[in-house]
Amino acid sequence: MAQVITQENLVQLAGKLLAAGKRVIAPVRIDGQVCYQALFFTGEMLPESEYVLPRASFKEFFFPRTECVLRYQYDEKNQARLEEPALDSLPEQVILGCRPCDAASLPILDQVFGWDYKDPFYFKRREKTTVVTIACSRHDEQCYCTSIGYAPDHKAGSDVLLKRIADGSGNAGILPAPDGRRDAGHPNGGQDARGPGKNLASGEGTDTNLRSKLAVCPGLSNGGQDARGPGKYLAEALTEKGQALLAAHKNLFEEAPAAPAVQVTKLEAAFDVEKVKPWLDGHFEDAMWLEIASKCLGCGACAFGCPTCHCFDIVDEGDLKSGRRLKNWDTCSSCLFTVHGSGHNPRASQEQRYRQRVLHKFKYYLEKFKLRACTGCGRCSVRCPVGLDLHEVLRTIAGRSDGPSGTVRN
Amino acid sequence: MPEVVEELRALARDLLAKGTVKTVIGYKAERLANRVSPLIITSPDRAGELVWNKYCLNNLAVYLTRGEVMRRGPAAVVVKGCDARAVCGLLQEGQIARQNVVIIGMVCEGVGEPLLEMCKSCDVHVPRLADYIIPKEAQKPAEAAKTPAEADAEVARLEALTPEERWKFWREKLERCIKCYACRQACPLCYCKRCVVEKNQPQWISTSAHAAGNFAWNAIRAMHLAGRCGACGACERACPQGIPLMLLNKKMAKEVALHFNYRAGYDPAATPALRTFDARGDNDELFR
Repeated sequence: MAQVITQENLVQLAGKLLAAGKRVIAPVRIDGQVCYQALFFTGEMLPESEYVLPRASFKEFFFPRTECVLRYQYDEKNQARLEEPALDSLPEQVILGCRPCDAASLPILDQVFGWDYKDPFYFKRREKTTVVTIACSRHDEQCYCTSIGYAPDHKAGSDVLLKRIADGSGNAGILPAPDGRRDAGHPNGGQDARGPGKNLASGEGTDTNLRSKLAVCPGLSNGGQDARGPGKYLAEALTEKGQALLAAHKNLFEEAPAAPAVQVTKLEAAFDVEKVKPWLDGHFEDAMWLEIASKCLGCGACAFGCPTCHCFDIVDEGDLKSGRRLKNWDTCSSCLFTVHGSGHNPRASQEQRYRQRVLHKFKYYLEKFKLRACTGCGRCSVRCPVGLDLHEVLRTIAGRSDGPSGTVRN
Repeated sequence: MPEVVEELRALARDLLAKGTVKTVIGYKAERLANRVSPLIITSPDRAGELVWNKYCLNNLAVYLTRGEVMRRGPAAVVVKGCDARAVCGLLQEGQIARQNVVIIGMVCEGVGEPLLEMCKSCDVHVPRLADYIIPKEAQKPAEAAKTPAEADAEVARLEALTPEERWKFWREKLERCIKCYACRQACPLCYCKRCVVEKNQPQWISTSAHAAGNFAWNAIRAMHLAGRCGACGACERACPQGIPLMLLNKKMAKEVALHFNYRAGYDPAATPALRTFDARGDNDELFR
């Protein structure tokens, strides 16, 4: 028996989960951009037809941008008292409506957070999270999951996979919305991520309760609703967690006698990713790195939006009496990332740093964990202020004919 | 190919071939038709890759202070009027020498699709300071507008809010900051080799992306650009989280214009506002 849930009931599901005290994370429109957010209420949850991909991955619900890992306090006898965060009191959370390229990042992150030391901050959240993914019925020009070996309906990392049931409207396929606006059903929908000033001009900015206002009319400024409107989804539980979720909310699902036809976008692979590592193996030194990275600004926009980037920095904030230790996102693009105490920097130039980014994702990670640290979501390209396009870099590498031996840069 | 692009390519080719400059910084086409990206070339053979169109958003002046560009020698940079204001700032602040930069000013009727909001109040369609204006036959730069472009409706609306409302507004916006520093890295005037947020003995500004750290960082960024920001909007466009950073910059520019009668990026010979402290004046705030 196939199980089917309507968009309406998906919203109901969010409501039941919220009522049960769970944290529900879903795509929400804020200032015209779609982001994964913990819901305040179910009305702000966007239907699948309103976004291709939220602006950043959902990784911060597993690996927050900043997180206290320790508190210290000296008592009157000058004895230090340490306090670790109570991870058991973290809420149970359900991610409702993420995309397969985000879900697929979880098995990748599991590797690095668990290979020698099982990071409790990550794994406690992982344990308490159920991931309900909606397969992509559309993609945009920045998507390249299939080139990396994933798919618009890939199962990796999901507990439940929903697929939109074909309704004959035939709107699946590519969207011409590549310049940062991945949230809209048509080019004028949503707001331009590159110019957030303009939604203030419409007077929204004065509303201090902006989120709730937007939630009431998610279709703001033409809202990006595509012609299909909200649909129905075929639900498939992939794990025990997924089965438990479906079983607990059985009444929200209809039984269909046979699996109906589904609407999953078709995305051709743009390059052969298997050719990338062999080239990288032989081209640690190559003129291409400078050519690509000469424009890299060295910010963290790519890494912080990336579903698989996982580097962090440890900082202490406090004084001699008390304080806390924090784990903050960090990025190999930053010139400070590898600076030694002596001042020496083994990755002194931006080309070395960019090369590290590519090698880590497509060589070192693959060698160590048998997985690439990329799911082809395309956010790094979308978010890059100077349009440094990893998709294009990989396509170029895969197409290089100069074989595995290195050319030495003069 | 539009004539203006041919003219740009010919000029770049000529400058590199004659050795007038070692580097040309411009834009090139990308995989997607509605994006371009910066192109840094050193050979005249590559001048044919240069493009100019409404998607040329980046302020390329940011590359003028890059080590590898400076080491090579004089550089030519393709600028819009707003970008030229940043070049002016770099000259005023002694970061680049006038003889080491060739400014190729593109006559610009606004960029972005749809047109960027900031372009609607532009008063530098023809870049000032340019060594070459493309297209050649364009008129000379107009005088700066008497009313600062910064004095816009958004800033006024925020000013009209109560402090509590404003606090709420910024708390909501700055909550999104992830400390990626794309705003800083994209800004031509954020050229410090070591930013204040990276100074950790002591740590002046928290590097954590929590509320306090985000307020501290975004406030100090705005303060450090007061009287310097040329309003190109690069920071705001670079922000992957959609924080309206230009509101802060515009507010600061408005205050500087009001109190110091100074607008950044129009006159390379002018003394920057933050360098005009006069100990001989009747300044009530003298150290005492």
